[in-house]
Amino acid sequence: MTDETDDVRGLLGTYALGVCTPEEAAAVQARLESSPELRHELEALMPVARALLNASAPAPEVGPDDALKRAVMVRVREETQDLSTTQRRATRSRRLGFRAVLRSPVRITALAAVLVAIVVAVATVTSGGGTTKTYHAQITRTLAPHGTAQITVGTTDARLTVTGFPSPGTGRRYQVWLQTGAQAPRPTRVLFTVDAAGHAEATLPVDRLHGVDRVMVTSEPAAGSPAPTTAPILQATV
Amino acid sequence: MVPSPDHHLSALDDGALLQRVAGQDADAFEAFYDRHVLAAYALAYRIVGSKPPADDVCQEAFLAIWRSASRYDPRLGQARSWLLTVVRNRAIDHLRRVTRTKDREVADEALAERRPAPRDQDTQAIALRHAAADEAQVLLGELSEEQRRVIELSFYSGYSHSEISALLDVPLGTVKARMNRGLTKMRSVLGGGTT
Repeated sequence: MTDETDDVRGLLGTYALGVCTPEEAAAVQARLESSPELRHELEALMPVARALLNASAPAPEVGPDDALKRAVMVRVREETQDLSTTQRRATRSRRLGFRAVLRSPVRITALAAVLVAIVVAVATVTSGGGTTKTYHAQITRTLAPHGTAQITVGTTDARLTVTGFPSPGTGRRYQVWLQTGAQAPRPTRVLFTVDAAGHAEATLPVDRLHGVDRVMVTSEPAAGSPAPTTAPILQATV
Repeated sequence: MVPSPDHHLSALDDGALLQRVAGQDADAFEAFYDRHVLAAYALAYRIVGSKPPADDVCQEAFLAIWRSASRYDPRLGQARSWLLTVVRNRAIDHLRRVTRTKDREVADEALAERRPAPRDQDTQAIALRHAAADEAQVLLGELSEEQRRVIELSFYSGYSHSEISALLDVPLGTVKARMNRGLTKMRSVLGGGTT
């Protein structure tokens, strides 16, 4: 057993209780990744954290009153109405737009072309007995205001395509990470940069995607990092 | 009196309720609120020590659940634990906002006085181990005073090891050792073992 493992073991309790500093948490996560023994010890501590959360039987003289519930429910119902209004407007806008298309022969032709393209695309995706799924990534707009990204996962290969991405920076490349649940992101060897138009394609390790919940990309030193050092520019739930 | 949601919603489990909440079902959210507000409030009050901030913390936490229910993943834990974790985090944030001022001192004193852990080891105390609401009190009662204090300061007041070391005027290593021995003992009791 190494000193480093001993240090991390000493932090497991505070990590389980969620009271580590960010630096301590990063150290624990990095070690958990490679140590089934530590993961087992952490799992054994989780019931303690749950018990502490549930520890507080209400004092009889103090409790939540009706005003609290009213305040919460007023906000909830306001937000429900706001959303409904937004959805109704969007639906109405779509209907009006569609009617406008139907009034124009040129637009009808364009619509038909799009429909044909969709049919072809669906046929392509589902042909050959295999299943190909496409996931659209969520982009961090402060990092890539006009970026888009998608991941296509087939039975034998997986590809990440990005457009409108900024350069990762001098001496840096984008690195792909895989994450399962709340575990620390696992590094991959997939490193890439983008062309002048912000476009890039990268092949993902399809054999490592099983059980993965999220794919992330961060800007890292050109050789890659063992743990993310910057905020993700994209995240995709797969 | 605020009316309760439909009876059929009250019969759904938390996971099913949150699925509906994710679809903006306010009635399902209300059922979830009614089911867990007592525990959430008790935890918030325990941490912040007075009613106005406990109200604020609970309101923030429940609205956070309302807005992010679609991200709830039952594989990562119970919905109740998720809610209580949000409550705890918000309450600790509140404590940090009051920045170790007089309010903070009051909260800590209240913590010490309001929840004395039972020290008895009689049959009644052992039976309480199976009651969820009292389980941790019993568990904390198994600890030495020093171990319990460190764990409470950490979990319910959000102090770091270093801060606890300064607060109690004991070496940092002692704080870590008390914390780990205490948690190990609680784990052992929860697992039905002896220490």
